[in-house]
Amino acid sequence: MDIQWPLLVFGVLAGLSMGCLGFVCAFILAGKAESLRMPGVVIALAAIAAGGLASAFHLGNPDRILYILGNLQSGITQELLATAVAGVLIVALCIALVKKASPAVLKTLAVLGLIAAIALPFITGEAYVQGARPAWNTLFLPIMYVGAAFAMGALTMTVLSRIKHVDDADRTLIGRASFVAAIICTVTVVLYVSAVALAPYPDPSRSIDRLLSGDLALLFWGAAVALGLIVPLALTAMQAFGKQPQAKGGTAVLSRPSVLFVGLVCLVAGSVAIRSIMYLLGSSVQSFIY
Amino acid sequence: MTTHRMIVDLDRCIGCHSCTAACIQENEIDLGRFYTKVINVGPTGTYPNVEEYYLPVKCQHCETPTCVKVCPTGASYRREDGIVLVDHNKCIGCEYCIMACPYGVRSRNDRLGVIEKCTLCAHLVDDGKNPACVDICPGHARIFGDADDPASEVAQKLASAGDSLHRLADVGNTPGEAFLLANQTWRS
Amino acid sequence: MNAVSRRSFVKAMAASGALATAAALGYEAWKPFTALAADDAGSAQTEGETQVIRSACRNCYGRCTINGIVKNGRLVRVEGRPGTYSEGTICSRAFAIPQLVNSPLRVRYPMKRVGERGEGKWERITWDEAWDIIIPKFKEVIEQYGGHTILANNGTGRDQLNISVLQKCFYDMGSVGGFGVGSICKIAGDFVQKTTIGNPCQFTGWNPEDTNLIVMWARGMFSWGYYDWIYIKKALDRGAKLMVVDPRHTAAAAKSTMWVPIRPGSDMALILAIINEMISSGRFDKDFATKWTNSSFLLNDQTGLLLRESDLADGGSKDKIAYWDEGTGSVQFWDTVDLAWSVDDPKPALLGSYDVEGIERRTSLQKLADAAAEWTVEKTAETTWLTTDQVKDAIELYIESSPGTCFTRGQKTDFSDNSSSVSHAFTIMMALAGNYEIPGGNSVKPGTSTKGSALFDAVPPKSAVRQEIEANIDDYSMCPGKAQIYGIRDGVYSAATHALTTGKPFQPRIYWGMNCEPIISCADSLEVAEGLKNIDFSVNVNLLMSPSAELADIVLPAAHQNEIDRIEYPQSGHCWPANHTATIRQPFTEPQGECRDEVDILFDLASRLDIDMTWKDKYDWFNFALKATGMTFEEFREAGEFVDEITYGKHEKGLLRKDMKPGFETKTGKVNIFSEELQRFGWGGIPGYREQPQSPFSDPDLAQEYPYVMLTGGRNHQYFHSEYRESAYMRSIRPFPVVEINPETAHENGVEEGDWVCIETTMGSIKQVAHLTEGIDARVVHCDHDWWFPEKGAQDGLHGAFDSNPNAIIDNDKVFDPAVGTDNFSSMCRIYKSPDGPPEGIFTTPEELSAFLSNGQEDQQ
Ligand SMILES: Nc1nc2c(c(=O)[nH]1)N[C@H]1C(S)=C(S)[C@@H](COP(=O)(O)OP(=O)(O)OC[C@H]3O[C@@H](n4cnc5c(=O)[nH]c(N)nc54)[C@H](O)[C@@H]3O)O[C@H]1N2
Ligand SMILES: Nc1nc2c(c(=O)[nH]1)N[C@H]1C(S)=C(S)[C@@H](COP(=O)(O)OP(=O)(O)OC[C@H]3O[C@@H](n4cnc5c(=O)[nH]c(N)nc54)[C@H](O)[C@@H]3O)O[C@H]1N2
Ligand code: SF4
Ligand code: SF4
Ligand code: SF4
Ligand code: SF4
Ligand code: SF4
Ligand SMILES: [Mo]
Repeated sequence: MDIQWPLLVFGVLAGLSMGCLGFVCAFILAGKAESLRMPGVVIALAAIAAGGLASAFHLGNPDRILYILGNLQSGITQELLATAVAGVLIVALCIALVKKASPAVLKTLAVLGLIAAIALPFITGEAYVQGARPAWNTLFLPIMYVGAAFAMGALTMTVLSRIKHVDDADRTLIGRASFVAAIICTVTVVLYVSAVALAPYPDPSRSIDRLLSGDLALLFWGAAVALGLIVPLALTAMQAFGKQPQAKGGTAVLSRPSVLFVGLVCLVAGSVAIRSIMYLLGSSVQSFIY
Repeated sequence: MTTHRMIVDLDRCIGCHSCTAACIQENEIDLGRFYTKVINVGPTGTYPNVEEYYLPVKCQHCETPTCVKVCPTGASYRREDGIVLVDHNKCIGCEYCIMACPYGVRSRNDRLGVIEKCTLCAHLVDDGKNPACVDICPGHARIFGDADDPASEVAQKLASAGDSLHRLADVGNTPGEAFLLANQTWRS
Repeated sequence: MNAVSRRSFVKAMAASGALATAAALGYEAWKPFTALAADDAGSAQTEGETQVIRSACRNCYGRCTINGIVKNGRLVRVEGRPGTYSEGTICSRAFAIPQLVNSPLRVRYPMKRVGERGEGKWERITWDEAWDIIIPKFKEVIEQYGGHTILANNGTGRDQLNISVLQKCFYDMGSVGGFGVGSICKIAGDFVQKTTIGNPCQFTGWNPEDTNLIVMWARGMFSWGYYDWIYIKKALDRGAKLMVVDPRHTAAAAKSTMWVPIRPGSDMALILAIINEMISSGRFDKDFATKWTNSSFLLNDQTGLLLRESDLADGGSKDKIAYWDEGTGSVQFWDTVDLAWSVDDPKPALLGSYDVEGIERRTSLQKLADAAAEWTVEKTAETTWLTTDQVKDAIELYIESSPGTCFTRGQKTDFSDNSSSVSHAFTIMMALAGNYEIPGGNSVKPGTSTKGSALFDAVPPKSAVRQEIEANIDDYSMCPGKAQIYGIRDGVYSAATHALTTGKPFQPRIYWGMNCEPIISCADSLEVAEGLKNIDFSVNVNLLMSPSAELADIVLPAAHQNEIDRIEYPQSGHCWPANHTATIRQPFTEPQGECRDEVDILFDLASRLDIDMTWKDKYDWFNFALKATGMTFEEFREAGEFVDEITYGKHEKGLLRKDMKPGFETKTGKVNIFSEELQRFGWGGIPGYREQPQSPFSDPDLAQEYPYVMLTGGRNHQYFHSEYRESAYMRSIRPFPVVEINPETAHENGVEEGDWVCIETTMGSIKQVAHLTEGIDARVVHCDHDWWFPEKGAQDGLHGAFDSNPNAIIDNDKVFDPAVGTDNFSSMCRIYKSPDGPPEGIFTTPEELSAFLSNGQEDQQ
């Protein structure tokens, strides 16, 4: 199947959005990194709005969007509902933060936000899980979407933590969290790729050889693995175990916001790459595609 | 109850694409898209020890159609008589059904932004006629009728087919249509 | 491109856009025409504005019965018409009819060329203006150079009446030459059968009802009316077997009981092996051979002909042919005039050699037996690339199933310099096996005994001009001394081509092309094109500006097959009951623009040249043809069809000969195992094997450079020779010319599925799209034939006539059967991946094809 760009962009931006939302909610619940909450929510809002807009480009008749509530069984309906809920939560959180709402309200929103942050990427991924397409028919696909969201959120927070004023302890914590997120992200990708390798109805169009050594190898090794996993892993490892950024020295440069931002971009690029691969492997059970 | 079904007798099909052309004419499909296509299965084996049959594929009018299940708008639906249709007034063109159909028989009408596929010529069937690809088939390979009516040819073929009855791979969609192939090994 | 079609083209482009915006959303938007009344009792009933008109399809020899659906005077669709031999079925090509009728590319008015030949510049003129140019030219040429310098070409058998009328009209002008498609195609074989068994029956005489075995030899399942398959399938379901002799795994092979993948061009070896086994094991129909063939006739090795009474005694009769009578133990005679033996209870010796006045004289069958003896299973296997088991199995299946085997073949064995002998050998094989004129075998005169013959037998008398030509054919022929058995107007197209380009033996002056596309369909397309550029004057009657039309001076607009009246007759190639049926073909709509039925055009031409056509017009001819049925044409129009019953043993009942005597309509009255005609004009009176001039065996040096045998022109579902390349439907289903390659061969040459590939011979190269298949030998490739690209302009290589068409790279000199002048459609070749993809300027996407669709206003120029 061809790469569905609007859907892909939606998935990545929704993931980024939910990653940010998740971390902001975690900060609220943990009482940390106050300065990052508002920018985090704003990024989450912008990302989900942009993602939603992008997805509309996929539709032949976007004007009929309200029909979408016609079938609750449908992954898209669920996705739309989840996106709407997440959007409402982000806006609510935004208002709550601006209006300095009571901790109880904030905490309630944060708990809900945290759930949404995991649920939306999962639902987005889950929509692809279907018997017709063996390379998608695995729960490791939505799990990978969650992993990516987590890592994108974590790295965004790390960048923010280098720009905004944050406690050193929080900064270290965020750095470590981003490393853990990068590892989780890597693990989910490995799991998904393994699931593809083991999927039933094997066919050259969705074979693991295509990404390991075939026509998708460059995209896989270069973009998905090197850019998307190794670079973020290395950079976040520095944050977790490296010297304090204030210290001078050879590796300090790696903690500059700009460098970290490049790392985030690499992570996003990697996520785009693995999702592209996912689409490209998404041939149907029968190779009867026109 | 009525269940409209088409089965294709592959021992009779000569791969001529007449059905393809009849369908384009009847349904005024845009050039380059097809509701029904004919796949050459083979020649399998090594020259000169080969086998070959022709497999016309179109919507299988599934009993638990995944295309219907995933359709967010309800535009894709299954009629009581088993025919799976797309309501063009509701379809938003999300192509989710294309992803969900295991057989690649749906395509997008770019002019209308909606998804199309074999309708089993519901408009003719509702008029008491056969689908456009049936009567013209030079192999008399396409058999259409009410599977619930034991007197119909379709029901009788289905009942008597035994081992020669085949269906496309089922991934939860329970294909409704079937194929007959007795003289060769089924490889689809 | 000419002004007209260019404008229409642009209009069509715009139209496809208009279609898009006009369409509303929703169910209604795609809801097609509601199908129309299936009841077609009347010939042209009205349903509001919609008419359903019953007629026949003429897109191939099948003549399937169809209905045309006409709305507001416009043909909008076609449907199959049930209740006849075609049982309501139609193939995909039938759906191209409305598109061709309404095509924006169609020629709708007489046109005069205003630019150079091939420049594509045309000007609309009136019919009167056209005749004012044409008639004086004809008169001048006939006067100055003689009518034999006029070439006329009718293409393949699209329409029996067209052929008869064209033959009549041009013969009476003195014209004998053309690119006669007959020398290309099965008609050459037909004439050989006429001299050997009296009637062409290898293609069409077969009857799968009650048969044990159907043999399809070099014959596609779908190259003729597809309904044949319905009857074959019935036989298979009953337990009959199907043997397919074809180098490619075709649809027929896929359905067969036994596929015999013979090496191209080596068929004669297998036929002789079958004959050898029949004779040597004595498993043949001795009774039929004795009574109804000339097996027993003795040979005169001095004359090379049959031994006659006149050879034995002064004053002996030339009409009496000697045989050895075992009853009397003496030489006796068969009288070819009285069709009688010289003794009452003849016991002709079939085999052996007999002392006749001191000289050993072999029987004809003995000569054949001796010649065939070398075709052992082993030698045959070696020659044909079959295994010994395959050869044995094929021989056994054929012999075991006979009598009671029916046989149908295609024309590919005619594309051989041994064409006449192969036709002869098939006749012998069938006759010795006892498969003629029995249930489940072949009728010698299918459908012609009473009514169904209507059109074929309605032959006008020969004029004085024609008699003079036939008596002195060598003076007028473009290939004197050759192709004598080819009995209609001399149409050996390589000879016509060479005459055009070399002026030898004389320079042709006028070319009249109708229903044909010689640049596309004849070998060495470039030479044909060069020749047609040379001619003084030429007229092309056509539906489209095809490549050869672009070289004409005047193009006349032909009515489409479904815009005219005909008695239609699905004889050619078909089995019972189609081969015994005639059906109506009547107009769906009036001819568009100023298009006319070409038969009317020919009658017009004849009357302006003072040629007596015997009949006043086509209806007069129809009525004559229908006499035996007791119907007038108008009554036939109402009736729609008539089916003739089938009679067996017609040779015994005197139903095969004009004089109504028992026997066959040959010079001997018998099936000629030894053919004197072929002895004199062909390779020999007994069929023998010849290796084709271009093969890995006969030219190993060439095979070094060009290792693969290139076959061409296996029929496919979407096209009829050069036709339907303008059909958006057909092109969307089969968009490109396809070359079939064995995967091993493809890999050796760096070719993958779907690649554009160059196929190269000593003459040049063409491009086609690779299809890898295990259905073809690794030493053979197969190319689609007759491709051109209407989307390309005239100046663009005559609409891309040489881009993909194998005839552009096939030599027309290598293959020539002396008796019938056949031609060549295969070659040795090499293949490689095209360095620059597809030919330039061709449509490669479905969207582009919409330019071929009409906007419904095509009639306004
Ligand atoms: N390489 C290769 N070449 C082959 C063959 C092959 O197998 N391989 N097969 C050969 C054989 S068997 C044959 S019979 C020949 C056929 O050769 P042709 O008979 O010359 O066939 P076409 O190329 O179809 O040319 C038909 C022309 O008639 C026009 N036409 C169609 N309908 C009508 C009509 O109703 N009226 C008029 N006036 N014109 C009409 C079409 O537009 C087209 O230009 O081709 C031969 N060429
Ligand atoms: N669709 C369609 N139908 C047509 C036509 C068309 O152009 N298109 N043309 C019409 C015309 S004019 C004719 S003459 C008929 C022809 O009708 P057929 O002769 O029945 O058809 P072809 O496909 O040309 O050839 C039949 C088979 O001969 C095989 N063959 C090739 N070389 C050899 C050989 O050396 N030996 C043997 N044993 N087999 C060989 C080919 O692989 C092919 O499958 O079709 C008619 N019908
Ligand atoms: S029309 Fe009939 S025979 Fe031809 S491809 Fe379709 S199903 Fe097969
Ligand atoms: S074949 Fe595909 S489109 Fe048709 S009902 Fe089944 S799932 Fe739906
Ligand atoms: S494209 Fe149309 S029919 Fe298909 S799932 Fe979306 S709304 Fe339903
Ligand atoms: S049933 Fe109708 S819509 Fe379906 S393939 Fe046949 S002609 Fe097309
Ligand atoms: S088989 Fe021949 S006659 Fe019959 S519908 Fe097809 S093209 Fe027409
Ligand atoms: Mo032909």
